[in-house]
Amino acid sequence: MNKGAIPDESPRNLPEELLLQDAKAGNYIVIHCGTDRLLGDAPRLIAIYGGNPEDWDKMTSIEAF
Amino acid sequence: MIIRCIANTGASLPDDYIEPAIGYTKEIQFSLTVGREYVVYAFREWRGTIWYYICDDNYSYYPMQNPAPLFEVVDDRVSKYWRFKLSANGFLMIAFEQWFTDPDFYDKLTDQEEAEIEIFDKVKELMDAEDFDLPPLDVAVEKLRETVSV
Repeated sequence: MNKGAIPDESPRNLPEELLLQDAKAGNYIVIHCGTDRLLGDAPRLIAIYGGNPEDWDKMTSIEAF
Repeated sequence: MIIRCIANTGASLPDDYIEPAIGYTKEIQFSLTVGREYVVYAFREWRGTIWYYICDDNYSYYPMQNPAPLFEVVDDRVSKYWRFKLSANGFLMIAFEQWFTDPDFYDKLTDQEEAEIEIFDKVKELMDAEDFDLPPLDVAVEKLRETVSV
């Protein structure tokens, strides 16, 4: 592990703020599934938040800017 | 390979593609335009489902996987940049060389790492402009035989 916990990025404008809220509300899609291939960042995430390597997926909002 | 979008919601997907835990619901609206054509940069097959990696309508710097049933294939000629990989667990992936050279390529690309973004920019430029035109079979084989006999 070479990084600490990464906080949410601060939205720089209203569209970004809406996008972040939307993603947190569940409007997301997985773009990298940990069960297909482990995330490179999985060891750090596990050290900070726990879980198993395959539990960690990478997601993105399904809305556009 | 070029595909055309024929549907852009989860309602059009077979049940095999519906997996709410990872965001694929019947209600999902994909960032795709019905009727628009997209270049396929890679694709994968897993347990009978096929996913195309394309630059969808939200494209920023990486291709996104999209379920195959949302598209029809309009140009089935495959890219000369593609490589084939079948993993021991049955996971099939076809993608450009750099995707496999570094097993973490897509992870790094989606993390917005500069080197991987530059690679994908180059691959995208080449594949978008790829010339698939081949001479007719008879002409091609004649040309080959002339080359071999010289």
